[in-house]
Amino acid sequence: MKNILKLQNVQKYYGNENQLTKAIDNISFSVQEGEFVVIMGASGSGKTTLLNCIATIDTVSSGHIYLEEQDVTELKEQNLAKFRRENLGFIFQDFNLLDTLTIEENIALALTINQKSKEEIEEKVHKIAKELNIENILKQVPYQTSGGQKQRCAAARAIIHEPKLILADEPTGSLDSKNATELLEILNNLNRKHHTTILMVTHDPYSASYANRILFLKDGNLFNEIIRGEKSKQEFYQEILDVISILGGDMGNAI
Amino acid sequence: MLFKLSLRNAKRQAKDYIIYFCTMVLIIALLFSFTALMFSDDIMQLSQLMKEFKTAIIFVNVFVVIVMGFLMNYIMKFMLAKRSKEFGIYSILGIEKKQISHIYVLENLIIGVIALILGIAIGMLLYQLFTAIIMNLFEQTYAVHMPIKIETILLTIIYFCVIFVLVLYKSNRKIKKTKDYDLLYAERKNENSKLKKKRGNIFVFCVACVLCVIAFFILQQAIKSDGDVNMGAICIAIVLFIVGIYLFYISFSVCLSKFFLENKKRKYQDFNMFLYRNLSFKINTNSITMGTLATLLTITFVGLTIGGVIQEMINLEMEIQYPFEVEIEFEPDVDTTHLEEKIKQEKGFLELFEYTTYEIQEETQISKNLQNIGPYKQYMEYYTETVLKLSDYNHLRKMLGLSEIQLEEGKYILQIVDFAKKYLSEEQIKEVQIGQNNYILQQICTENMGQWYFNGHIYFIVLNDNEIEENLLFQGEMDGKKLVASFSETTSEEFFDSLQQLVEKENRVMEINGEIVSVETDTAYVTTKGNRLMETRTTLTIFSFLLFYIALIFIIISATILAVQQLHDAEKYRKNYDLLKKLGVEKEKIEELLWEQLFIYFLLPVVIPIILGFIIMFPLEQLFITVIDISTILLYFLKVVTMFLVIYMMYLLATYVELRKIIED
Repeated sequence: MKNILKLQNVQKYYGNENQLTKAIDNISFSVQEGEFVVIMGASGSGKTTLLNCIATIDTVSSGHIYLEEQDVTELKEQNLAKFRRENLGFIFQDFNLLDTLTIEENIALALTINQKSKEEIEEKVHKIAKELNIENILKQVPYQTSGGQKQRCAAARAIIHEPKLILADEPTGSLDSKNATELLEILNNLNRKHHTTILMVTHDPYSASYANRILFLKDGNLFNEIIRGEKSKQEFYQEILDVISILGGDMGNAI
Repeated sequence: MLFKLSLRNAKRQAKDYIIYFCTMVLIIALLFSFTALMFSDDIMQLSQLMKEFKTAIIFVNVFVVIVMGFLMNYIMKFMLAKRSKEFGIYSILGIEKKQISHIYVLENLIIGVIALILGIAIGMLLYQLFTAIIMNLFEQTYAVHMPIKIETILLTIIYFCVIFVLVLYKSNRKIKKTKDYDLLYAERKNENSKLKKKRGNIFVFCVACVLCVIAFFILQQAIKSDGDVNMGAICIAIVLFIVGIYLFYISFSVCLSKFFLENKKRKYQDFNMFLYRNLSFKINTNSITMGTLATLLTITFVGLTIGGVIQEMINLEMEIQYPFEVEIEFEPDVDTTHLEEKIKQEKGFLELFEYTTYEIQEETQISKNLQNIGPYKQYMEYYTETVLKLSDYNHLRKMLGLSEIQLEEGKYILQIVDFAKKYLSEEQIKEVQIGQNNYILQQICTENMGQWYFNGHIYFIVLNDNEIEENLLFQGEMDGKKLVASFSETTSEEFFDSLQQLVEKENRVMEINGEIVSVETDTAYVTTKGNRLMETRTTLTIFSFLLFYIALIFIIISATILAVQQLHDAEKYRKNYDLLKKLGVEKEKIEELLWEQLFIYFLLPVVIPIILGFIIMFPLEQLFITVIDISTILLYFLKVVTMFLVIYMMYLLATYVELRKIIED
């Protein structure tokens, strides 16, 4: 299997000479096509910064990030937007749906930005809505729907243009456990059936247990890496908790 | 401590309201400068009529104060909504409502006082500018000085305090009465938007259009070309127009989404979906305000145009009505020697000429010809033909610096006002019967020789001297004696007053409604161009300044309300556009979208007034048709709209720059 994402000695510093904060100290890893990778770490461990750098929203101080063969750190400002809309899909903690648009239109937004034809848009939106079980709320505005439905809509928007990589930033953070499980199942399904590559940031061990592989971050460095392999979810969950306790117990406030 | 905290919060929010603040400064500046004009001795000494200016300014100022009160109240509501979460948190932390509202009042007072001071400072400059313009109009030199009276400042402060106390009292009460929960979650309330039902709104939209069409026809019927104006019908038309405008904006958002979002192809094209959903949502929540703005702007456009056209008409009439500096009309038996002597003594006197105009009370082909033309009907009802001798005519021409004309035997000259010429059919007046003889038309002249209300009305006829002397019928008792004098310079108002005093009075026995009464009348009717010029100039100055004042206030208030509405949602826009950025939309495209959204939003309350105003001009033309035609009116309308758009655009640009700054932060 080929590498879809490769990070080489990525560093990210904030501040000036007197006071330097290393948000990412020195991180290298790669993600293979069809993998479901989770980055875990406590608040302030640099996981969101890392995700933003991969998403080209933030820039690295040094090092390289390759998406397939493309070095995104070398991309020019004017090409970034095009790169994002063609290669990446986003899922956010607070859904980030436009409340003036209907659910259907929110999903279609990613496709209109890529200037697809109306036939293609309609077909894809309905197909994906059926898959994510939000067909019956397509005509409603976000305000009329539940949190779970909103996040499924956000997930639909993230995957509808078939990006090479889906970046999810605490996608279950605003959901109750039932809805969270539902969303994770959906992501899992996408990953299994469509071989969609997913990179998810979370501090919730339960969410993390859905992954193929987990990277632990601490103070801007890779601390540990565990692979699920043939383990059951329960075993994997236990393993995650073990690592967290080594890491210093507290993973934030989610447990 | 709390005050410090709150002040910092206020400062952070100030940038959302910078446009509102500027508008407030501008309104105070205008209020101040007009109050200063009212108290200015320089201005009041210009002309006797300026007293009227004073009264008018007082009325307009009160009106402006009321309008400003509405604006402040409107904006305060926005500010309060935005800060209610902050106040809610204070309240939850155990700070008393009373204390919170004290802070709010104090903050606003500080902002208000700054606006007041800045406004007065700018107002002083504006006052100098206005004074200079008025002085220039009256051809007087004006050196900049500062004779601003303390009353002016006091009155401005009083105006300001009255509004401020009322508005603050209202929002103060609101803070005290609102529950903590509502304060904390006020922001959420705005988000509860549902898509409106379609069918009902499209029906309302159609009703709005029909109402406007009906109003148009009522207006057209109400203003007839013969000068009859049916005020009742006009009021009905105005009410229908206003209702139509409101209904239009209430139903418009649904129609907008129907047009842009029903058609799937159009919907998914470019950013139409994003743009028009945002717009229709915003219009939906603000439809009543939009309707109010559109109504105000329609009134402003129509009012300014009518005002401009009236000025144009007065100027035009001045020119054709007074070719001579002094014009006197008197009865044949009146002695005018003392008047003549007074005129000859006046500075700049050139020449004096006395002559007779002969009146015949029979209709000729010419008056019949004009009677059939709508606009001149009213002038033709009790018409007598006015005839001048060729020798007198040529003398008048010489005085006006025109070349003399030879008149052939058995022919006549028609001297007519320029704008009426086009209604004449030359074919029909080729040969006309005047008195007992027939005469053939030699030529039609249109130079201003007093044919508009001095020598005849609209036109007079010129015949050879011998024709008049031979024809005894011309020696009627309606004949008028006329005296004109030319001067090398414009005469003063005092000169007119002294002439007026020399006119003798006589008691004339008249029959009024069947009763015989004795009425004191002047034996001569005197006009001087200098006096009339001063009078019209004063009226026109008052008129145009006040019109400009009100219009400017309306325009800046409309633009400010729109700007604040948009800036109020800046945070939401920032989130929306941030999402677009993450989804991979270029920065340039986002800026373009923002501009498009603002542009359409600002344009909406203007489009209807421009269209309606343009259409309304056509029936209104009938009011001015005797002197001015539709193209002049439309040109004026265009000027008004352009002037408006320039000011409006500045607000639009300022809003765009502000919003872009917030979004790209």
